[in-house]
Amino acid sequence: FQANIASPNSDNVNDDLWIIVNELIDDLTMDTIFSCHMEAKMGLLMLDEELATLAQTELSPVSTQRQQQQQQSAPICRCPNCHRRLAASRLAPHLEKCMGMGRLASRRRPLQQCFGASDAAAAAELAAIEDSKGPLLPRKRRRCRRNSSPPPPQSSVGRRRTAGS
Amino acid sequence: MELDEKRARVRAQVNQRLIQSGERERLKELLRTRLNECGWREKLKQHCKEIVRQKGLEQITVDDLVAEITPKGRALVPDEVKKELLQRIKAFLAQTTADEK
Repeated sequence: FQANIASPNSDNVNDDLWIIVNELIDDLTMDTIFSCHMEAKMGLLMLDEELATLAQTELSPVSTQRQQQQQQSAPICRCPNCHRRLAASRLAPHLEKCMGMGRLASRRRPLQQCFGASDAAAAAELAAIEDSKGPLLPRKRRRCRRNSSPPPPQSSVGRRRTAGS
Repeated sequence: MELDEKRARVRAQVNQRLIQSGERERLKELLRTRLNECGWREKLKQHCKEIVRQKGLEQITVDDLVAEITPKGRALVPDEVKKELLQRIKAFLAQTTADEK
């Protein structure tokens, strides 16, 4: 039966028709080849296998232990300002507040200047008040915009009253 | 050879009839349906992945895949599907010949 499939009989007409059948098969084969080639070049051909391998390694108990060990062995460093011990990933946010260079710290600075609170205790008290009740000084409107589009036109409804008006 | 040229002309005429009548698209759609049912495309894709692993992702070309995958594509099609297509083509040719008479 397999030999008949390759060349069913000695009839030339049947041979020609088999050629047409093979051409139809080749058309679909080329579709598959082109899509596989494109997926290969885009890095998507092996994606399903890589995801399956990744899922297996993440769920395995060995990888969980490895993650815990990595968390435990995270480098600890000391703040140069207050000498407190911190994880390295927390150092930058801590330094923002500790050295007065962050957003919140820069907002609190004019507060200290207005009310003359230069010592650390009064500054902390003012910061606590501001945190609970909101900023005591009016916020400045941001003049610079990220995109080049003009500011939207202000409507009369819901316009905020300024301190002077 | 003269006989081969004649056969090539006959084949071209048959193809032209199939294309003009739209039967070739219908046959292709039938083939696609049958091959989806038997998982032919997934098997062919697996072979493609093996070829890509052997040759390397950067070096693989369409010509490489065509040379390796085309014979596999023909071999993986079930015999019943090939027979069904053949029968459909014969029936179409018989119908068009009868219509012309």
